[in-house]
Amino acid sequence: MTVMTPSDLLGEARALIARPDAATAGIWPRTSALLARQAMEQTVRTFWEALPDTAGLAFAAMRSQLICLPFCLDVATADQVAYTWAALSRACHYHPYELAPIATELTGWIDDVESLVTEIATGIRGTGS
Amino acid sequence: MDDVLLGIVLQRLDEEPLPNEASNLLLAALDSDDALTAQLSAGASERRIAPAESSQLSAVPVGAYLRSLTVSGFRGIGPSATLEVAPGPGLTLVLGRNGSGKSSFAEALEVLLTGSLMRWARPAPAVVRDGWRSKHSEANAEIQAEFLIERTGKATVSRSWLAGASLEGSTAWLQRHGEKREAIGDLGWADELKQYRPFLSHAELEAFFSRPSELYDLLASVLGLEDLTTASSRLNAARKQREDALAAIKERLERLRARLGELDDERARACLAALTGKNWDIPAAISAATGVNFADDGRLDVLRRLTQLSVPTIADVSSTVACLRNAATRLEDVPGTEAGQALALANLLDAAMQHHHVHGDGDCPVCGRPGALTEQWRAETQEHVARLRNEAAAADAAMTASRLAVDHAMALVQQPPAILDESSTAGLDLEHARETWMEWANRRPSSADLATIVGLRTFADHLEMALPSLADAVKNLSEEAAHEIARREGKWAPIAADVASWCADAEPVLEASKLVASIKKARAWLVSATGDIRNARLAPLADQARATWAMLRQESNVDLGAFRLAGTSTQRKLELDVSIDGAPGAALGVMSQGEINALALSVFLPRATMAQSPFRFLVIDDPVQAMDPAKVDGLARALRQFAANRQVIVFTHDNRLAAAVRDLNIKATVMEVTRRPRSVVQVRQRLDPVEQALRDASALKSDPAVPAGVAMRVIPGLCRTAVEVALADGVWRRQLSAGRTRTEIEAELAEVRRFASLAALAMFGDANQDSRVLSRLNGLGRVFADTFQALNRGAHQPYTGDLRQLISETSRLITKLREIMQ
Repeated sequence: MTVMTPSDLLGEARALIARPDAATAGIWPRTSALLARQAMEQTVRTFWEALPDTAGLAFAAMRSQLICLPFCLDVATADQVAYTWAALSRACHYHPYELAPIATELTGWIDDVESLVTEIATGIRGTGS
Repeated sequence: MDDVLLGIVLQRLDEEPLPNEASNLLLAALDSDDALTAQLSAGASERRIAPAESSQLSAVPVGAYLRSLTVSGFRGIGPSATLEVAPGPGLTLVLGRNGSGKSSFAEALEVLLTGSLMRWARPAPAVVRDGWRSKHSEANAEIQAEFLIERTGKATVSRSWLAGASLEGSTAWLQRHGEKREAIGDLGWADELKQYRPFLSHAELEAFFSRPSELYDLLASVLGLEDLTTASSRLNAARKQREDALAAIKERLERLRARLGELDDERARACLAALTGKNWDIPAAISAATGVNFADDGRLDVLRRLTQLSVPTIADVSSTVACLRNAATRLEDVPGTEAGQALALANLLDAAMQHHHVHGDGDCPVCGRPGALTEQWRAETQEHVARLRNEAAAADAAMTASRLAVDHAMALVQQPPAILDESSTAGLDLEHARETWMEWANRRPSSADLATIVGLRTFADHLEMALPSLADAVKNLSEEAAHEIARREGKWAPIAADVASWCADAEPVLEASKLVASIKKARAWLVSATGDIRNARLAPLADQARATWAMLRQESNVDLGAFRLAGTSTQRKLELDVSIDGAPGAALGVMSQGEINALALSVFLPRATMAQSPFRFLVIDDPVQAMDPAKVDGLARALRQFAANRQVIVFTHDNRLAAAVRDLNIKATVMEVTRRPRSVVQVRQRLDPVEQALRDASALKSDPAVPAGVAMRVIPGLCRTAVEVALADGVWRRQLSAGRTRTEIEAELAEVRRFASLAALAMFGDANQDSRVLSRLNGLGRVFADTFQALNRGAHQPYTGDLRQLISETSRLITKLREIMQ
């Protein structure tokens, strides 16, 4: 199986939302959120791997990565990544008393991830103070 | 009034001019009640009152932050419990289960400042109102808060109740640093508490959209347009007063007209004619009522003249009758003689005697009888002439007397007066009087007969006989007329008085009501101007509300468009353009309760955080209920945004907000309120931004996958962040207590770039004393100075020491710094 790029993952996530398929009924919201979150995580990992000093962080817990992010990326973008990741994480999990996210919510997050992916990929690097 | 507002109004007046009268009234109304009254009585067009200056909308008021809140014996809190919050901008979450006493803190602050709870202001069951006192505190109840106020410093506000006192029976005081105790009102927050209301409870959120007019007031009150709405009410009151007075006058007139209509009286008819239609002729009504200058067109005049009818008196008639009869007798006494004939004969005899005197005795010159003229003849003739002349004089006198007597009598028997020909004299029988009079005038001898003795006697007899019936007839008629007048006056007099008093009342009312059109014009102009200005001022608030909604709604398909304050008086409401999935015109009814709450918060938060509000704190009680999880995330972000320059304190029983704040890495202080038996309430700090940073540092240290090089850079950075946050808190507390303003403090903090300068600002209140920082810390313990230096260096180069030790020493340093910054 070939490695999926963040944009492949996001494309899959969108397709899932768009598919009026009985086979995916009920599970699509969380599956879609999972794919979008993977796209986010993969982008951050790619970001770490771009520099030898931080390459190892790609294997650290996501929390660690998110903690370090503001030190290497501009703070607003880092905050946005943390927020979107947290929101998607919630959507991934089955909370017994919470309802699955609705399509428009998911689409919004996928849009957010997409713009963050672009932003990070085009290499907006913080000073790493 | 507010100069800015006045400027806007004057400019608009230039663009959309009003007639002079209306614009004068408008400006007077904007000025004051007295000015409007003066302008109204000046006839409105005369002078132009320049509105006096008054309070100006101050751009940035003195801001207040909450430092601590201590409550005892109130609601769910028994023995004294204190909630301390970091003064200065930031987010504080106070968590607690339902019944833990957390809401008691929120409510206590509102009761402390306003003396009541807004949600109690609506009709509240007695059980709620009476339940304000803690069940577990028989003693006094007290709420005390410490505020840090810009330019003032520390201010303590207290409200307490003796055992048994009612909610309203509290004693409140204010204690400013270094001042005497004052009344709580001296804080000057009375209006602002209503306008910017820094409290919001879940109950209020739920009720937010239930009353469109309240929502309108809520927003309208913050826009600073009271001067305009007050002026508008003044004009409206002036209009109403005038219209009411006119209506009252008209109603009185209707009753008066009904009474006038029942009267058969030309004065009543004249009044009715004058007071019918749109334009009353009040002067005509007055003269008809009072009889002054009243053009009497008939009946009453006839009646009055009838009462004044006169007939010859008995004395006059008697003397005339005597003269007539005397004349007749004298004429009888000169029988056969015609006075003229006797006179002519006397003259002839005189001429003959003259002839005799000249020619002597001789024949008669007339008949020729010889020797007729003798001395004897002359003597006899002389006697004859004298006798003839006497006869002639007597006849002459008798004739003259009879003529005079007839003239007198003729003067008495004039034709009946014209008044007796009046046919319009209702109810009175003139015919008898007229006929009697005609008889009196006409049943007399003809002119020819009057020269005779019989004629004179007949005339005298007629006068004597006819007078009594004429006198009777005329007297009766006069009396009837007089009676009729009296009868009419009896009905008329009271109505005439009412007409006169109505006229007196109506004139000023009519005069005043001439201004109504101008008042209406002025008010219509003002209402339209106010609407425009209001919505222009509302625009930034609306933008902020939309921005907040964008955060809160998350991916809700409800779009918040423009909103307007529309309508006036009872029709006033907030109009929201809400669209769902792009379809406009949606009603609030299609929104879920969670969405409505979020929308309410979107409107409330910008309002409560307007620049003009003196409250730099904002207390929200349980905003999360009924919210979707995604909206809770959105709320957390919105709160973060408002907390950037406000002290936002959120009470919630719902862990989701705390979880969102944690997950989203939002800097916040999280407190927890717990309630033990007997209402013992405890407040613990669970997390604050300082601890958050230290926890992140520990988490990073514990993750073996984090490369050492990264940890060496990031962990000291996190530790330094923790210290910086603690120092910044200290700066806020210290500088606010010293009476500095938020702008000054923010500017100072923004200017401080060096770690040591920040520490100096926090420790000594002066960023320039950075060189003293290390020695001070050294004095407290060498390890503090070392840690401080390590953190200072760590920002610039990788840290080479033990990271775990650095984290724990940072924690100790922060504890120490907090101690000395208290």
